[in-house]
Amino acid sequence: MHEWALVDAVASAAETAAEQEKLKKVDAVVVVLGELQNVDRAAARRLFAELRKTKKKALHRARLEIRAEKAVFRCRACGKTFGLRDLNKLSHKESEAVHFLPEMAHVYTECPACASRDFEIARGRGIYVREIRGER
Amino acid sequence: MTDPRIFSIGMRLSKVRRIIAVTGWKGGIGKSSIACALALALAKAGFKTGLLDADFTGASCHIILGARRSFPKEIEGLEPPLVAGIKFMSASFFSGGRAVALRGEEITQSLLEIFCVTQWRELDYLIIDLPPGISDASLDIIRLIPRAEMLVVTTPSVLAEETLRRSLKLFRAMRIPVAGTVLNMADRNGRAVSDKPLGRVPFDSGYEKTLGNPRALAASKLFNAVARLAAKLQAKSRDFCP
Repeated sequence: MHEWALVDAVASAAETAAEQEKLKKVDAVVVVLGELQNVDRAAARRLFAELRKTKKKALHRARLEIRAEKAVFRCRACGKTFGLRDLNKLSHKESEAVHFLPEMAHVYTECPACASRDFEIARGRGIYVREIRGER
Repeated sequence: MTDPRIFSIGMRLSKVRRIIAVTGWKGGIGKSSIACALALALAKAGFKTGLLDADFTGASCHIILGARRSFPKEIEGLEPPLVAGIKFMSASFFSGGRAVALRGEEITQSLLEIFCVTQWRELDYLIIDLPPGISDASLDIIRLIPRAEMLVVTTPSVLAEETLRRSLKLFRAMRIPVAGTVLNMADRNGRAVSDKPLGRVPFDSGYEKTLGNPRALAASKLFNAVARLAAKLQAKSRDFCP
């Protein structure tokens, strides 16, 4: 599953952060999931529960907390700010392409005001680690 | 906010023995053709070889190799399809033959994503086809994969030679490993253009007809010359054999 690689990266980032912060035990890893990439939340939780065991002991009981972030786009040509709902409805194949590589939004969508493909993904692109909580 | 993808790149490339980035600072000098022929020559020599088309906005390796119908499998990320014996990854798999209009930051994001999710597994060689010049994708490869060796392509033109000299000077100053230079479309009287020549590839008038057909490519004059370069590259790293 494609999510495996992303969640593995999250677990590795948490492992490194725990080492740097000298945490003996990580309680929670808080991640932001951007609406555009459409990562499967249930799959992410399940994969994290498996992958944490492959990392250092401090991470073995950590839980994954997920925060959703709406996608926001800003057109560089006309300045309009818009969301996913304002865009043309993507086909299944196009949604899959954006799921694998969110920058493909520039291929399949356009600014609803001026039709430019030159827009910025201002928020809600993909997966980020917001916070790691634990005990020293 | 921490971008977790950075932390996975080392793991994803941990079983890749050698990484060669094919670069050149002018467009149309044959970087993609050399990159594809090099990957094919290494694969035919028995090496486990991967090829990444990092020219997201002008991808062409899929056309050269005839990989339009291929698609990665979802196995712990994305498993590159095997095309003519090469594990091949390209943004063209996702763009459906449409124009890909990306700015610098978007190219960086795409490259990070591809490196995070692509499962190259064990490879002897990963060949990376870079876009022309020294901008986003090239600087990101240098930043993210400092062990990547540059294979610098040029042509017998004052314009290409001048940019070659500038590129070699910069690579030396930045301590970036250079595997060598390749003079593409060379005529018989073509002179050496650097102190790190790996070889010459003659102009091949029949090359265009090989596009999309790796078998025809492997029988071409261009391929034969690149296969000799591949042998020289192997000689520079004799610590492993296929």
